[in-house]
This record gives sequence, C-alpha cells and structure tokens, in this order.
Amino acid sequence: MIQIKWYARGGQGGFTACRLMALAAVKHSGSYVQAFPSFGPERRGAPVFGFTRIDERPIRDHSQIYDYDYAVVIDQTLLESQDVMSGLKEGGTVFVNSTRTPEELGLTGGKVVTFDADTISLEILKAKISNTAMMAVAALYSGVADRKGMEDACRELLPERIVKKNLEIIERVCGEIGEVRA
Amino acid sequence: MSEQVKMFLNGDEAVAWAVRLCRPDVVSAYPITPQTIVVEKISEFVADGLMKCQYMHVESEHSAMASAMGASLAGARTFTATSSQGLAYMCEMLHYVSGSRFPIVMMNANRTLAAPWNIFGDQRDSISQRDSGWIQVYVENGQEALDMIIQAYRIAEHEKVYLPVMVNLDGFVNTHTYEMVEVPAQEDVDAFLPPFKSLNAVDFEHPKSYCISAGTDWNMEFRQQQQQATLDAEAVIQAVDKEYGAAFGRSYGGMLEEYRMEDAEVCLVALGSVNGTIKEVVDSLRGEGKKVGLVKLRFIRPFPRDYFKALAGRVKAVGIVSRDLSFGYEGAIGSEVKAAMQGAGTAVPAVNFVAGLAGRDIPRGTIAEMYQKLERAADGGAYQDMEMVDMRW
Repeated sequence: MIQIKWYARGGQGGFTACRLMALAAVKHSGSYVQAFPSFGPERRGAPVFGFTRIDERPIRDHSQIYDYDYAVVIDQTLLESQDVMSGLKEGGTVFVNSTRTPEELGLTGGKVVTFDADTISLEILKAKISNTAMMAVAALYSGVADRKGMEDACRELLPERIVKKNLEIIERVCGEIGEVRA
Repeated sequence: MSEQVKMFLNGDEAVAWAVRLCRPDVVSAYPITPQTIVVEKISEFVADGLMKCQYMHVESEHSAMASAMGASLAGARTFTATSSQGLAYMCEMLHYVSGSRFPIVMMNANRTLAAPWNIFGDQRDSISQRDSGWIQVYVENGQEALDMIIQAYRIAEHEKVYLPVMVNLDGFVNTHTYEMVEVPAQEDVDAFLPPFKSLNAVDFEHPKSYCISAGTDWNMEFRQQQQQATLDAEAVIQAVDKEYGAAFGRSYGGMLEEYRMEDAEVCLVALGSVNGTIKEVVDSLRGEGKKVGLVKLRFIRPFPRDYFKALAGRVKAVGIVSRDLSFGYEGAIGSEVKAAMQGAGTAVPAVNFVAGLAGRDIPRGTIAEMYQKLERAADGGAYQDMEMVDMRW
C-alpha cells in the first residue's frame, strides 16, 4: 500500500490534490484508493492535511495515516510548524513547493525534491494555487499515476471552467521534469 | 442486470446517490455537519431535475421529522438525514414515527453530542436513541452505506415490519472519505425496490385514526405489536441482504458479519468504520499464529441476542469496542453483548473498550493491544470490565 500525506493551507486546494491523485491512480492502474481530509471544518489559511491511500486490493483501514511513503508540501511556510520528515518511511520522498534547495529548507533525514510550482501556477492561473502542479510532480516522481490518468481525473473532478488551465499545468510540469520519472 | 458504474464518492455522496435510486416522493431535511453533503447533493439532484421528489426546506430537525411523518402518512416514500444535535432535537418525533409505524429511512452521520462541543465522530448520538423504536444499522464504508440505504427501504416497508430505519455512518471517517463506489443502474434498483404502496396511509374511503391516544387498557398491546415487529425484522433483514446479494453481488451477513471466527479464541465486537481497521489487525495477528477474530455487529435494533448467547460457548474472551459511553456504567452495546452472553450460563471474560470518542482515532496498535489484553484474560489473567483506551492518564 502507498500512503501519501498532503500539507496545505485552507483555500490552496490541498484536499482537491489529494482526491485528484487518488482518482488519477484509479485511472492509471485500476487501483483501490481512499482519500480523506484532516477531519474538521476547513478555514482559509489554516493548516489543512489530506491523506491518500493506494493499493492493489480493497482498502479497509480507516485509521489515520501516521507513516507515509510520500509527503507533498503545497505551502512551504508550513515547514515552520510541521515536522514533515518524521513520518516519512524509509525510501520515501517529500515534495516541497519551493525555489529553495532541500538544504536551504533545512530538511534532512530522507529524500526531498523541491519544485517551483508557484511560478507555473501564477503564470497559468494568475493565482498561487499550486495544488495540481504539486500533484503532478508527486505523481510523476512516484509513478503513482501517469499524465493521462491525471488529465482524466481533472476532467472528472474539477469544475469545467478550470479544467483546461489545469491540463495546461500538467502539461507544463510534464515538460519540465519529464513524463516518466519513476 | 446492467453494469454498475464505479464512481469516486465520499460516504455522504454515496448516500445521496442511493436515495436518488430509491425514488423517494418526499425528502425533508435540515443540514448539519457532517451530514450536510447528503442534503446538498440531493437538493442539487432535485434542482437539476434528476430526482422527481418534493424537497422540503424545514427550519429545524424537529420539523424535518414531523414533516417526514406527515409525508409518510400521506403515503409518500420519505427520506431524511441528520447528525448529533439534530438527532437529539428530533428525539420527540422519533418516538412518534416508530410508534405510529411509518417506514421512514434516515441517514445519521454519527457525531458526538455537546458539551464539550465537537463536530467529530462517535456513536453517542444514535446509541442514546437506541430505545426510540427505530431499526438501527451501522456501516463500514461508502459502498455499504449506499447498499444499506437501498436495503433499508425494503426492510422498513416490509409488511411484517413497518418501522423506521436509521442508517448510521461514522462522521468524517465514513461521511468525508472518498472511495470507489459501485452505483447500480436505476432499472435494477427499481426491480429490487418497487414503488411504495403504503398500508398506513390516509385513505378517505377507509378512514383510520393516526397518532392516537391509547389508554392503560390498550397501550401495552400497541407496544407488544411494536416489539414483535422489531423482532420480526431480524428475519427480514437476513432475507433482504441475501436477495440484495443475488441482485447486486454484494451482501453483508445481515445482522452481523463474522470475520475469521472459525477457530477464534478471542474476539472483538465492533460497530461501524473501525471494523475495517480491525480486519487488518486480525489478518496481521493471524499471520503471527494468534487465534483472533471479529464480530462486526451491524444491527443493534433488533439485537442478535441468540448469536451472542451462543458466542459465549465458542470463545475464551470477548472485547466490545464502544464509540459510546453511558456515563456511570459503560458503552451501552457493551452491556448488551455481555448480558446476552450471560444468558448462556458460561462465564467468559468480557471487556468493554471505550475508544474513539469525539473523533479520536483508533489506530491499529491500539486494536492490537486490545487483543493482547483479551489473550491475557483468556489465560486467566486479570482484566477490567470496562476501560477507556488511549487516555492521557
């Protein structure tokens, strides 16, 4: 089973990314999935966590995720209050939306990949909503989903008016890091 | 049978889809977290013309249940949904509906009761309405939620039953978790659940009295009939589940599901979503050679008394996981399981583990510790009748 934890702030689409990843995995490999938010009322700006489970067999575990294969940090300011490395499994990766290097962010004790998703999001969406870009980064590096799976998930889950721009974001991320990373 | 469509839904959405497929004539509901998505989704279906039903926007849960009763009295298939404080607020009407024998189906998102105020999940809301005369079922995941809404109408509307049914989903853990859910085709649900022809509707050709007074001379006979109908529901629940399995390929064991109980020496009994997590722990402990099992209790009313009476002779220790607490004693369902086992005349150590109140997670490690405690009790070790687990002190 693959477990992923998402770190964002309310309004940044963290839980949407969490759901997109799950559905993209279904589209990609027919996996069983589970996607749930950190339970509670979501407030704009407050830390919001999302959890995705992906497996080849039905997922029955309904407890929270304490150890994860991947963590996706959509808002790097959360690194000040959240210890994202502590729950990372051996061999896992943390993806951070940042222009800085893992060393500059002070992240040690596991593999960390940084990616500047804000620039792409600002350019295409005219807003720093970097959820889809970071979802694409994590999907491509981990191999959990491919480009087509992500595109299908966007078409199914997102409101029609923002689908095209999100497909553009996925295209840009694929162009920057390559479609097959895993 | 037409192919079922796999959809990526949370538990609330799965309930809304099930309700749509059941073609209720009236939906009367008031939104409350974590049930809100159910009523939002249904009102969208109605607004988009995908559901032909009267959607009543009411000002409170008490009115939601009162108008649901009025609609059922008029012969309508009726649905409502609530949670926690809302369920408490409609308490008076719950008794009116069951006592007057209206087969209303309600979804309840299990959430704790204030104070301290909290929106997260436990089953204190519905279990405190245990004696309201409603049939109550608890589900493990979104698929079971969808399937049980459909089954609930068949159970409620069965001529031997004519009682309301409450379908319980753990707040957030079920209501807000997305999973792939198989949604049956409309024509197949239509074949399984024919249109509702109420035996208990207002009919000017055959006038009857409703919600009447019954004095000391007759009141207990009404209660006797209500008791008998609730007991008779057990056979209906089993039969409907089997028929549903034949029609849609999914069945759940009716009153309860046994998981790896064949040669189990110790077992847990639980309600709702935690059963899935317990199954994982059972598999893992079985891998270590431990003879552990699980009884996933699905219906608490009617209550499978005979099953637990027999269970006392099969295992060496039983633990009941309660997301519920009757202050000054223990989890109410814990007491009931223990009482039923006493009926066998065999003394089996039984521990009521109160866990997961107000949304506190029940991790796999906590469940494994429960099994360890039961194994010690089975070997003659000391045990507590009731304990609250994962506490600070």
